[in-house]
Amino acid sequence: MKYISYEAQNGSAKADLPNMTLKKPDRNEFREYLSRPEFRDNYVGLSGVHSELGIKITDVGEDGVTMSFLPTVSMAGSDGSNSCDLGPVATVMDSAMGMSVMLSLEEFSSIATLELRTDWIENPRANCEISVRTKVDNVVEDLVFVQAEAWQEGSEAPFCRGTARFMLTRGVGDLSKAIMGAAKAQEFPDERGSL
Amino acid sequence: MMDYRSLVKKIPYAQSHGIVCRDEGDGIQFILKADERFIGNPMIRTFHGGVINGLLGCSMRLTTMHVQNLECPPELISITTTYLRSAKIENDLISSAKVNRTGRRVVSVSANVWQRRDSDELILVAQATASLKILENKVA
Repeated sequence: MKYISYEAQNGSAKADLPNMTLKKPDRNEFREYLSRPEFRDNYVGLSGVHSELGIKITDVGEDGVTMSFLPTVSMAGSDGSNSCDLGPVATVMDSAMGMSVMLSLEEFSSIATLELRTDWIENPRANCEISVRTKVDNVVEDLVFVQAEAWQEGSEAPFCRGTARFMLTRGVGDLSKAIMGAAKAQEFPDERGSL
Repeated sequence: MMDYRSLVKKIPYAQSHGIVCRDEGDGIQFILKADERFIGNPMIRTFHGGVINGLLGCSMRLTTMHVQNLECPPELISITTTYLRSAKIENDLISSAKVNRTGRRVVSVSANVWQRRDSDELILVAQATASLKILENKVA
């Protein structure tokens, strides 16, 4: 099996020149890889922010994904309190929503967040796992509407709800391909040299 | 009024990200130093949108705390961020906030994030508006 390979080092991924005669990655293959837990770390490892937060992809569905992370005391939103700041939660929400957009597309495209709104129902606690679940509402031409909610272990009620609009920027979708390429390199390490 | 230089200590998240503040005369600016650990998309090497959102949140909460003379940063009710362009990781991010209206319990705030580009010109990267909850935390 031949594929297009991408490598990520030190947070900077550089793409091998894609040979157009090679198999073109498709969306279903991308979803298939992400639905297998052993390949999900490839996504986390590509980005400095994701590595630092220790984001885990816990579920990949048809119209959304679930990610989680454990907020530490250094992520507290106020001195002397046990609350987690907006920053890490917004980061995971943005990433989870972006991934669900990538998964919802018929073909790979680069995407950009246009707008993100978060409503804070209550403050999340530090040192207690936070999960974020997303759902793609609509894809209208080049716009994708997504919603998300975040909750903590031991509570079914979300502490934060988010909505976002993404734009398809119609680039080649290098990030999706890089994630998939890294997963394939993990699955078929011997084929990397043959490209 | 609290010394603006110690504001960042009030938010551990801001401290752990190395956010610093400086008084520019017409308001306080919050600076997030460029760092590889803030990369969201490694293909184009840009700041993650969530990191920009975090900077905007800190900027709005700390500015409100300073202007309103509060004991601790007010809590968020909602924040809406519009991303205008991607922010390359090579340059620092600069944010400043403005209190638009203060009620008895809710404050409306807006903030911008800029980045200095090659021409040394400040380019607007993102804008946000937020509602903050002020509790009974004014300094006596």
